[in-house]
Amino acid sequence: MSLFGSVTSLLQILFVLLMAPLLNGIMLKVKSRAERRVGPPILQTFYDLRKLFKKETLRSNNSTFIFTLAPLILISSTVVVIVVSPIITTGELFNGSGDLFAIVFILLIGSMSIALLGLDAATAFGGMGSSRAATITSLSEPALLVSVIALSVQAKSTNLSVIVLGNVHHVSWLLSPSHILAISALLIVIFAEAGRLPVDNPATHLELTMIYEAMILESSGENLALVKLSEFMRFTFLLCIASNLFFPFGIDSTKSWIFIGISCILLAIKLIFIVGLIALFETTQAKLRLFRVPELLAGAFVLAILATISGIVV
Amino acid sequence: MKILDSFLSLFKAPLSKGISRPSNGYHFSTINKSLTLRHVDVGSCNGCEIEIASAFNPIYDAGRFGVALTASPRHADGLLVTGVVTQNMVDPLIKTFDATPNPKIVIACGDCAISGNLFKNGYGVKGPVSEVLNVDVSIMGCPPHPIDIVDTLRAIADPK
Amino acid sequence: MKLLLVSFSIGCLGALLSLVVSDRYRITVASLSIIAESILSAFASLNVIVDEKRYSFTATQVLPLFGIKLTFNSVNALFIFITSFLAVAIGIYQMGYGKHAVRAKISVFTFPIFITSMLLIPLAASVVTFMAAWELMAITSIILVLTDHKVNNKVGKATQWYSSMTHLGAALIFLGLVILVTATGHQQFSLIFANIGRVGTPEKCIAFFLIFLGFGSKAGIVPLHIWLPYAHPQAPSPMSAMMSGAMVNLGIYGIIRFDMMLLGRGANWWWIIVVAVGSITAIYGSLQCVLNSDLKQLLAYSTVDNVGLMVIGVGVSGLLISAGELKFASLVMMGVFFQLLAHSIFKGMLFLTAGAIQYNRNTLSIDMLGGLLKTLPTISICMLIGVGSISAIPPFSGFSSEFVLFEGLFQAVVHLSGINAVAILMGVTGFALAGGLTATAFIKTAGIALLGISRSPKNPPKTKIPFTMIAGTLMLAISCVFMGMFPNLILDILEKSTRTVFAKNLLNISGSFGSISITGMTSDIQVLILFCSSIIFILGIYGISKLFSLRKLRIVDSWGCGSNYSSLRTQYTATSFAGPLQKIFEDIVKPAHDIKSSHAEESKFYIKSVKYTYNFQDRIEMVIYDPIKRLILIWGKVTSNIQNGSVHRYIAFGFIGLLAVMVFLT
Ligand code: SF4
Repeated sequence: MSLFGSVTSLLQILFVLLMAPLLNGIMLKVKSRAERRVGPPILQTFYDLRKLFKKETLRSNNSTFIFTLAPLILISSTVVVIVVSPIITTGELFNGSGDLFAIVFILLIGSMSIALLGLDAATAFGGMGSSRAATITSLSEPALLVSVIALSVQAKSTNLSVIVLGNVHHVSWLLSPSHILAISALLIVIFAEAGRLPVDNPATHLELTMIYEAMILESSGENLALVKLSEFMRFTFLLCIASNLFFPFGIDSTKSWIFIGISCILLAIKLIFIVGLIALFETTQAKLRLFRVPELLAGAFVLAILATISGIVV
Repeated sequence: MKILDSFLSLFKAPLSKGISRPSNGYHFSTINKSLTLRHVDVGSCNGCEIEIASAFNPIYDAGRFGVALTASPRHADGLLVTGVVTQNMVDPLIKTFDATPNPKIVIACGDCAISGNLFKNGYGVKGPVSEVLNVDVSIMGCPPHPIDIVDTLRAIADPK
Repeated sequence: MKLLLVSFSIGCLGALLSLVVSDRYRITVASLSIIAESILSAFASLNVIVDEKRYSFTATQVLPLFGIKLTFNSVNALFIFITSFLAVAIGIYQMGYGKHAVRAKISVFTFPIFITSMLLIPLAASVVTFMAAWELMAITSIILVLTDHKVNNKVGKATQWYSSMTHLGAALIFLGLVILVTATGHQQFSLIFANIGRVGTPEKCIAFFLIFLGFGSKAGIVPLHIWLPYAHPQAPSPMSAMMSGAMVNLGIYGIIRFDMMLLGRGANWWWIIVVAVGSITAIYGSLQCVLNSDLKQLLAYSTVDNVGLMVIGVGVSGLLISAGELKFASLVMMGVFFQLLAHSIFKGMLFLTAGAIQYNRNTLSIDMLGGLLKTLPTISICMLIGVGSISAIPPFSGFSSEFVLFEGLFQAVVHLSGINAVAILMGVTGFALAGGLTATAFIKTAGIALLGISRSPKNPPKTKIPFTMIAGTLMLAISCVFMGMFPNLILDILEKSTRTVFAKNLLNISGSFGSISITGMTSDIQVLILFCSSIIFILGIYGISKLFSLRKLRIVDSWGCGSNYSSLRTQYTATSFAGPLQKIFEDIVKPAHDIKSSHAEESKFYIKSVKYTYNFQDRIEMVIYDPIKRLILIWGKVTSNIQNGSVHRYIAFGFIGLLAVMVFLT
């Protein structure tokens, strides 16, 4: 446990913690601009979260300790994956634990706990949200696992740091068909997991069309704030991983402090760019029907399998 | 703190048109640049709804002041009530109010909600919103103009 | 070895004693004998594994003609350890459970013998001994399935399925072994192995697949899984825990012991077929598991799913062996062993919790449960742990085991090429799809059964759950967490067994306390540290959010959109939870819907009542087994015409037969 490792891990947490609401704000702004409206200020998400932390927390009389615990598990599982993965540096703490397979299953803890939260208060909409989210998870999980294999085949390692370092050193890997196919599968899965369009509309106000919102209809105050914050953080984390896999340049691999600063700034720029693209993409999309989503995810699954095959063959 | 808050609210009252009394534990310090409302239709003719929808459209864009509508009262900072309270909606209105976490604000939107308008003594009508809940803010008009709605919401969300 | 024999005799003695003592003490005597027997054999087997000892035992007098031959080494010791560890907990559990629930004297008597036979099977060192023990297990388990036949009319069908499938399996195994015995001329396994060169290739292939199918039917590979969802739920919970947790392992044991260790490295297409069957099993099992809403049946299907994972692992390991990559083969094998161990324990525990729920609520339909976390907190938390394990989330046992297995598969993908790699990809596909579906299935189970409020309109009288039941379940729950958090200790033990399978020291367990790190793997996961740090995060975040927030909490009614609804029936049920998935996989499962509505007399536009029935059967049963059943029935009708009981006709048959023989002889 080096000092460098500990400090950079803290930095990674802070980075994602600050970027997550900011990116959401930027997305809202870009989307509003695309719709020709002024839109909320970029810091709006911060304001929302601040307010929620100050508000009273309501608890249903049907709920159990899961109601308080689930948001905490969700956010701490997110923090754990942030600690173990290379976000701004490949020399993070618990380097060996940053295994893609482990990350997939730590993220699954979060999905499961939030699905349980939806069922906890005995409401109809909560169950509906949980059912839909679990359905989507059950289909995106396989795609994610197979794309994990596809991404790892070239580096011959499932350790994320090793993969990212390999990508830095072998530019040809980045353009190999296997890598590109795997990244596209990963992107589809990220959209599904984070509940973005075209899988779920984060701005919907109609319970019947909700997926992820419906699970947290019963949460309020700090519980809600924690859930929302960790959802933004998960999204940001997944984007960080995707950008580090697809375009890793700038990530610190030398374990020097100056590079850490540069890598923070570069990653922030990359993220803002990606998020802008996603926002523009989302304005052109309508939400898919729930029963069309499996087709999308099956597509991702097939892409991932193709990626693995081409990784083995080439 | 409470004294300071009420003092501040006195000070700021003239800026926002309709604020009558901050009675539901509504603090300026909490709802700051972020106001999430649950819209409750307790017997409106839907004129008000159309204007509320317009207030959130790209032209009037209430969203730019951090105002948003939400589906669940648990997420809300207050109720945006439209229409005259019918007998059947008394209970749901109270339930929705209870389901909203403190501090919260009740906004009566439209003349019906404020006074009962022409339905006041009608069959099956309980009365204006103030007969059921403490109303903090009223938005006048039948229906109120989107600009009025935006203006009021802005005054609440961003009192500076 | 002596210890083990002593433990067996304790088991049998306890069984006999339970026949003699009065009703009040019967269960206690039987359970105590199970506990004593399993503690002893657990110690004996652990000792053998850790010291890598090897014993053999021969008793020529016991069985006529052939005698009994047993060997005890660190491979079969692992299976004995798993069985006996599970049996300790189940013995404790049964003391409380059985008092009210198991009334049949014969079942109480049979249970210790069933466990003894399961402990005996891995020890067998000759074909006859093995088949004898196997038959003993088959018969005792059929008796156990029959326990509730007086109160439950489904038992009959279950027993029919079970007994026919299990005997079919035994016949296949026997045939396979007989081929080997006739080709080599020996019936002792070690001698068969020494002379395996004498077996020709076609015989080898036939023997391989006969043995694979035979043991597969015990393990529950698709399409031979059909008896599992019938038989496991019908036995009383301690027995079904034993069947799902331990008996299924013996199927895998057979595949490893005979197909892999005895037949040696075979052609790679054998193993490709094994992988394919495994992945179909995993996917099919998990799909049925998601859609099912009967607690025990769901668990039985999830056993099918887990067996699929293990079969995939065995197949991939075999592929790697035939490609010469012994190091990774042993990594995969270790994953299989870990999965076996983890699965036995969490599945056994889940069956025990199911039993406790049935005991308390009198129903097993998840659609009728709800809110158990409030009424049965300990059992529910155990169930949550089991759910975490089975969905492979850290820090529970399932994660560690699946992680090792997955790393093995990944290394196989990297180190093999061509058709072998594609075959492994098939395994990975099965693994991945099953993983996602299992997680959903158990979110459903835990979410619907434990959270919310009870879905059945009338609450049955609450029976208090005896302390021993909770203790037995808790013991398994704690070991799930233990295995997840200190995987290095478990891996140390498993490594010894793996070494014996390959007769070589190939793997090295390195890494610190509480981490998964094996040579050949690319990462070392420090589960313990990650878990501790996440606890710190949870506490820290809780503290910070409490600091910022107004520290106010108000208890209110659930938000029902302003209406006065009772949330009893508006909650999601297990069936509706799985609704989207059922619709997505409609082509595969083909459920039968039916809507019947009756009209008022005055006008058909007024609907009096609407009845919706929904029913889905195992598709494989309909497609494969129903035609076979019909054929058998037709055959039965034809033969009953020949044998109608008339004495004259029989005399005529005898006469014709005699004539035919005489003609034939001259
Ligand atoms: S105030 Fe006017 S527009 Fe609004 S609900 Fe009443 S009648 Fe309709």
